[in-house]
Amino acid sequence: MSDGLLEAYDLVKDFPLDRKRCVHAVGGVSLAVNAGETLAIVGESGCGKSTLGRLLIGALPPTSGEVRFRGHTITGLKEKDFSPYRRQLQLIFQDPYASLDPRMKVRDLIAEPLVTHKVCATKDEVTQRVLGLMESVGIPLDYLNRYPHQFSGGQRQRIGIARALALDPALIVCDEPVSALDVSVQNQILNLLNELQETRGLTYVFISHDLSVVRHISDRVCVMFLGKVMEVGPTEEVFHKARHPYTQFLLGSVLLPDPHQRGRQMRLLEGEPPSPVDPPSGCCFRTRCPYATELCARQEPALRKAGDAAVACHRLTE
Amino acid sequence: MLNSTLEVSHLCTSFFTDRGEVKAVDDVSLRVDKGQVVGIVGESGCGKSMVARSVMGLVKKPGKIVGGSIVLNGQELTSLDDKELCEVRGRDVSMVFQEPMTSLNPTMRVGRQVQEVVAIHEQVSKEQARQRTLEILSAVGIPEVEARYDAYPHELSGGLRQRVMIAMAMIMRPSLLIADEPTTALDATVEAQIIALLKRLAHTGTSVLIISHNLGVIAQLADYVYVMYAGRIVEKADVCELFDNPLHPYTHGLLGAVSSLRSQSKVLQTIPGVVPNLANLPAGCSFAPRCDRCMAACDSVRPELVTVGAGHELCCHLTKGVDVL
Repeated sequence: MSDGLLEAYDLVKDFPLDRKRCVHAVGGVSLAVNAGETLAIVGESGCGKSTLGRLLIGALPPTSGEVRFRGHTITGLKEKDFSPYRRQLQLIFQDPYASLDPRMKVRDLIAEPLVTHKVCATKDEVTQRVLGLMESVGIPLDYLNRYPHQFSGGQRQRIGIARALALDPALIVCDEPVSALDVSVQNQILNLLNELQETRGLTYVFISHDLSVVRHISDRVCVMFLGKVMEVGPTEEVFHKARHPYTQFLLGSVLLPDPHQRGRQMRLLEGEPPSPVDPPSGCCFRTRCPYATELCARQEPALRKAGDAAVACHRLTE
Repeated sequence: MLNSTLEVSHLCTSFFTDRGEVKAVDDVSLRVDKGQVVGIVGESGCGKSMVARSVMGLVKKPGKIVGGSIVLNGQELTSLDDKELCEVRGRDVSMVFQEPMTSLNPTMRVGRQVQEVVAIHEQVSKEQARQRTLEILSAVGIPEVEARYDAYPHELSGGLRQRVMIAMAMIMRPSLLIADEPTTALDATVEAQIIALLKRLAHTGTSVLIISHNLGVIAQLADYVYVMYAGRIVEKADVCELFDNPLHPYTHGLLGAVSSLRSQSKVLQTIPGVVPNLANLPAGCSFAPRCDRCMAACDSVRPELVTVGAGHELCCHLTKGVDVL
């Protein structure tokens, strides 16, 4: 865990509900993001993947734990001290409809981060940078004075990407960047992200629930359940040799776009998801796990090395 | 004729806006046979949901069915008034929507909401209605039905809510169930459960019209598939035929986009451009501006659906070059 660009140590995030109770969104996550890689965070809604993404770039303060960027602690910094790191750590949102100010023109939307961080000396320089960004994300340059509602979903996502790129960041957290898009457009955006990574040497944390997208884009995958990491490892290893029962179920429930494989037995998960307000004792997956034993209820499994991956399951030691 | 549950012919549904008439559904014909699962696949704005809403008589102003017929079990639906439609809805045909949270009443216990459907259509005692509700709730796989009967929608997970919606749709044993993106708002593991449930319902003889943008859902569930683009049917075929031998450049592009995600290639296959604005469609084929096999005729002449094989129809000028089987 030393050569990482970004490292998280035992990150915890609780959101209080009332005086007594709170939602345990992220429950002690440690991981490293290596320079130049794409690390995917997968899991179902409410598993804490978006919260983790925001914790990683300092957009949310953790309840406890620490994030280090290039070895420097970025947790608990004052706004003034954090500002240079914010330029390095950017975010792309899922919903291109909701994340752009409808009253701003494209030129102002893309210029906003440049102006806020006072990157350019003159107005001309800002315009030049904006045009350059528009070109690199594939928005026609004559759309400079258009408003967000004049664009399609895919183009709006391109604007969101241009905004994230404006400050030349080292790492971008992409939070479900293609989930709101149609299949044909989704692939255009994925190709663009790939191309930008190659030309600019970007590092991505790619949050998604879509396993086929994750398999295509990521180098490593981190599978989360109820705020905890269940399994983390190289993408091909996790997809081919899923060791954690939850990963196996997740992969088993993919609906293959092939009518000839209808006979394939889908692995259906039993029961209902546990509550993040009152998580089960021991392993948080045990209430849905067909292999759960008495040990699973008593003791929380630690992430242990298995092959090139790390897995949090008691069955592995047997 | 008696073999078909639903027969839609030349349906046209338009919206009358400030900018003129928008043809959301343009000359769509489709049929669903008894016990068959028929899929409509297409991207957002292609009119697939409007087909479903037209069948249900749920097209709201400024939208209107402007032409064609919808025959359900031999009964013409387009000429029915609101009261008669209310009798048909829920009893003969029912619909499951995408977002179970917004389609359930948040102030009513779920059991009562399901029971309400029976009370509208039949004269039954409260106890009988409750009994039937409990039966259908457990039939759609809801555990601890007695307790869940008194729950409010917000107390249930997304998957359970969608099961309640399906229970509500199925309690009168309609001959046709329309499912409009029933799993789009759900997680992968829950989606698989709901698809398995719909599969089971289809095996009991209910006809299902499944509408989805997800080719995985279509491949796993549908027997016969219609592909829609910009308000029209561009290709229709048996599910295996469609996936093995897609002939329309749009179908080809869609399947390519999905399958290239599963391949090793670094660059994914895409369809260039964006879905056209329905208010301003090209004169010829709507797909022509995005089509990599566009010819001179495509820009000016609108293609018609032509049979190209057993049960396989195609709406494309390329048919002239394709050997008819």
